[in-house]
Amino acid sequence: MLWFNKHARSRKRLSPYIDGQLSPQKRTTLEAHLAGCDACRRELDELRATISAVGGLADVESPRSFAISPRMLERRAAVPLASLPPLATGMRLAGAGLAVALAVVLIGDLGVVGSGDGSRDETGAPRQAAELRMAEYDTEQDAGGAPAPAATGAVGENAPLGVDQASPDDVAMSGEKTEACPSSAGQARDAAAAPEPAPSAPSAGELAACAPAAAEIAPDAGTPANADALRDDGDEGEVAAAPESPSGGGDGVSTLTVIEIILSGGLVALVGGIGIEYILRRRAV
Amino acid sequence: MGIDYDEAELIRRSTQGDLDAFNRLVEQYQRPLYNLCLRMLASAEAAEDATQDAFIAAFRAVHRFRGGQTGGFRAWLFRIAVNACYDEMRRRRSRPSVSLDAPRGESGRTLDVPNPGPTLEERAQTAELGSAIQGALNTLPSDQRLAVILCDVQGMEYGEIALVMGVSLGTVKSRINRARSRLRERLLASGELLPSRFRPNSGDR
Repeated sequence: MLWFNKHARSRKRLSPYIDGQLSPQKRTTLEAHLAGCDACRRELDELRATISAVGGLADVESPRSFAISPRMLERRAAVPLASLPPLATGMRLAGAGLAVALAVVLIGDLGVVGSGDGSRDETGAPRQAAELRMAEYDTEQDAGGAPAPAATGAVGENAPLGVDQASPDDVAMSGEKTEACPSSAGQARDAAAAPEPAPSAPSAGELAACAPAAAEIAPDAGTPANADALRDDGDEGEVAAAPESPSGGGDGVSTLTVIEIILSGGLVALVGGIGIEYILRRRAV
Repeated sequence: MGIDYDEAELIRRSTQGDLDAFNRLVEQYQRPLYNLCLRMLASAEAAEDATQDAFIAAFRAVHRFRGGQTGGFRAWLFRIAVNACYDEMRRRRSRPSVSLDAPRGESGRTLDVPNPGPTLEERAQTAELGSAIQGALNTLPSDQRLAVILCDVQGMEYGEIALVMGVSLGTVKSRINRARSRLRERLLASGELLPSRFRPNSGDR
């Protein structure tokens, strides 16, 4: 076994040995092994023959001059770009399409809330208001006017969509939280419905202070999905009026959300793709 | 090859965008570069394309070349040529060509870019170019093929090969080692290697 290991190691060293790449010590060891091992000696000879066979490949004369003409530089400048487009153009188009679609969906989302407020305010309310703020406004309106714990219990199975489907306990808790900052709830309403594009700084600040409460009302409130769900119910207080509506509204919203998630995924993939293409191009130069 | 001082001067002028100076370097290096591409691609036509592409890419990038020493320039140029070869392989692979059958054996065993299958015409050329030996080279994974071409055809030192391939000395060593072992097996199997003395015992492994 020891001999076998030594033998295997020796065979690995034959090639570097031929090239003079072994340290003196390894060389001496190998030569000692070679002296007593016919197989290795034969392999050494065969390797030498292989090397000389490969080295004997004809050194071919250059078939033409490869000198570069200025015209070649111009022409070749166009070639790499022209040869890439099939993929690159497609990706760019797809990316542009995705970006537009994503923008449309997002604007559409905000627009839904805006028009909801718009029933009270024709100027269309502050569409620029950040999504979080809107979500909080809706949350508060919803929680404040959510007198239908029984109904929410009925839809409880569709859990992932937030306050409207939360358990009675959660709703009770949300009531407390809302009371913890009632003034800002009022201001939230004002801010969202204010005709000025920019809500006053104080109320925005207080809204931010209320954020933890909103988050606790709906354990999942941090996600856009919940913002959508809440927003839908927030409009005109439909929860109170029609207990069944949450599940229907939830479905519509979740479809929208899925589309958004898919689009976002596409966008991420696109950015990755562009990155890869960039790297490949750099490597090619 | 050439007078070193001249070359350093030509490189310096090339880095400043002097095309005439660069073309004198092209004259000096076109033969080894073309031969490298020819052995890598096993096709005269592909090798011409790759060589030209390599020189053009080199001229575009030469202003970024640092270190005026000659050995550095050769390794740098060869590295660009190697990239051009890989690009050419990719291009030819993506283009559906008359690939009757690649040399049997290695296909699928490694993940690297395989040599493009030879067309009839290319096979005829291969025949001119050292037939069995080029055929055996073609069966190697491209990184091993490159290592053994640089070492045994171009006669480069391990250190320079490491620069060209962008890998460590140890990797160069093991690639050359494996490449030669495989070539030895193939050449023994096809009866190319020293017919009289060793063939009867070639099955000892």
